[in-house]
Amino acid sequence: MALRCVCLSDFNVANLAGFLADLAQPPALQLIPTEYGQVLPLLLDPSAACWREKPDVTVIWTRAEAIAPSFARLLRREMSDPAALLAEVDSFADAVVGVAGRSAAVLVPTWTIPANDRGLGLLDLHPEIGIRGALRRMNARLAERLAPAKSTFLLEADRWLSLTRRPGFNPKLWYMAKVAFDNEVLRLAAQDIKAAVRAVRGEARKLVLLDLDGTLWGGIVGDIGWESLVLGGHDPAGEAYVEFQHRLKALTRQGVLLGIVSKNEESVALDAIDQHPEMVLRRGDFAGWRINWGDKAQNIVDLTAELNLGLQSVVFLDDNPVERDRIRQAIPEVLVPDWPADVLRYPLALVELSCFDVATLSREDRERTALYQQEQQRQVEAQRIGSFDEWLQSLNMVISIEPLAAANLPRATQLLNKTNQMNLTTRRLSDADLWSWSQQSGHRCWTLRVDDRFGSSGLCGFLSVAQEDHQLRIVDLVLSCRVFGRKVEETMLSTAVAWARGRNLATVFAVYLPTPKNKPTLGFLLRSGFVSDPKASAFQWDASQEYPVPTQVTVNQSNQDSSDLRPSPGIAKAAPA
Amino acid sequence: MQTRPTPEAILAAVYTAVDRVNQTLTPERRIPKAPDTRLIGAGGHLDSLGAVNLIVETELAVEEQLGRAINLGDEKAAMQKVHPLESIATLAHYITSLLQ
Repeated sequence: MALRCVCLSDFNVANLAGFLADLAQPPALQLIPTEYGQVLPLLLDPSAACWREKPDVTVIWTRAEAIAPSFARLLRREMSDPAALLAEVDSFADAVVGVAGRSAAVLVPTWTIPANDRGLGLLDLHPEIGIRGALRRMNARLAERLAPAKSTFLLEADRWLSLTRRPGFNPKLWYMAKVAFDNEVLRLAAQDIKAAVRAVRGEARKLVLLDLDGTLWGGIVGDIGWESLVLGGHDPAGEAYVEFQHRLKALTRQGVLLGIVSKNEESVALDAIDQHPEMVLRRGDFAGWRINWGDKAQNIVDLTAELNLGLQSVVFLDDNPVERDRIRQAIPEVLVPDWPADVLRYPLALVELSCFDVATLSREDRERTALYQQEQQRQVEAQRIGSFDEWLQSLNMVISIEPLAAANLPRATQLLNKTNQMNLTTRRLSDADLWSWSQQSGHRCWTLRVDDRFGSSGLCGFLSVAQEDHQLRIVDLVLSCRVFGRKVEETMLSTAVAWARGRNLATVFAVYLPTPKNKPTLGFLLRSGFVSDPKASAFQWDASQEYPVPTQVTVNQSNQDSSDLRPSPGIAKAAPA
Repeated sequence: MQTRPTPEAILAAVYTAVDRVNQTLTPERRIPKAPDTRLIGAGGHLDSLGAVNLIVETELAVEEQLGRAINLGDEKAAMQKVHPLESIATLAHYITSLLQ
């Protein structure tokens, strides 16, 4: 079913409907019609018909002159008070912030003027009379005012105007139909609206799998040796490969993992990565690799599974169109962008991809590659030690449990929306909706951080409960696959049971909602000690009995929550800051 | 002297415009690409916004593909005995007359 998009605008946006509905670019969005020119009344009236449609996304697209009379005066070359201009922006921003909870995301395209409008020419950036100068200040002010608002984002509309090959403003569309932008601009706007929706829903791609020869460097390393590769130096192609690698490295700082899937001798390829002086990406920048002569499709499936990711998280980049076609045919979930034949276009081709857009960027995202490398070290250690329990004990795991708060809400929401395998009900909520749910009477949410001697896995667990009469229902049991199977999930159940015991509740129960991906959750529940119903869909614990914290972990419970818990072995209060 | 575009070239430009207009429409409202497709009036596929879109996109497509600037939204077009937007065929026919 298509998601619903309401677009409030002071011009006719009906042409967006087809672009938004386009199934070739998911998700399909159904445009909820509203009368144009009614932006402020609709923003200020929560009972308006468009809000009763319960939109999934709200787009508020206005022209600067329609929102700010002071800007309209500037367009007429009249004098305008800069302070009044910003006050008008503030007033509009307040109205936008007011609708933040009415849909999962609120998107506000920035204000623009047509590129062919010269404005005041040399004086157009003048701080008092310049039109573009004023517009920049208005957009900057709007960005500042909207930044703290939950799930509210600006979309850079100037980019759409500069990307279209046709003039962004078509007078015939405007004078005959009050359409303020050419249809090419609307097409690009729809693409960005969809990218934003995917980002808010946690559907950003997380793993880029790269070919090597012809993709990461020029030449065939197995034939010519790493010393002769086209990479860096005073050579256009060499510079482009280096720039491409820089852009890939930048992606890792926004939470995207890199991997290699290449037909090569592994030792030869890794030698090039380690030795070539112009390589930007080194072995440590890759979360994993499959460098062999096997089928790339199988290698992608294997490597993705090793990294505990789904195939819908993967982007595959390869200069060879035959390999690209093979992957498209074999694994349709993997995004395989058309790739330019000209290496000089590689860096741009990468930054043009919208599949990496995210709505939040946490510390865990920035450090994801390091987290995966730590995990690889743990696996090596596990193989060395042999006994699983011994290995767990050797990790010196500390689990920090904190109540849901403003500081951890974005990461908790991200986890809730991205996690598939260890997820009890797979419910998806926006920041605003999760916070609103957590504030309801009888509801409680916690986040879990896991640290061990190899480093921190960051915030990787989310638990929520709801009191129902004398029972406690576990609503969300969400755990990153990075730490799954390390007794963190048992610690989560222990937390829920301790909470119930602190309130003298009779039972704790969890209802498992199956999805194609969350079988690991069922497996855990079946061996958790909770009693299952015959259909293995509901699991129950008698809260008169303690559910002990696993001996392999130490729990730090934040002070704010500790008063709610009956003391239990293994639960230590965090030291006061 | 400019060469006169063939009827096929003119129809191709109109179809390009129809493709572009269809992108703005939800699937159930899209216009079939056939000469006898009725555009406006009884049984027509286009509302007033769709008609404006088709005028704009046809003007652009004719300019891109045939190198000629035309105006399909003026009084002359509105005064034709058979309205140019009655069908795809009448639109192509009117463009032919403008380019002569």
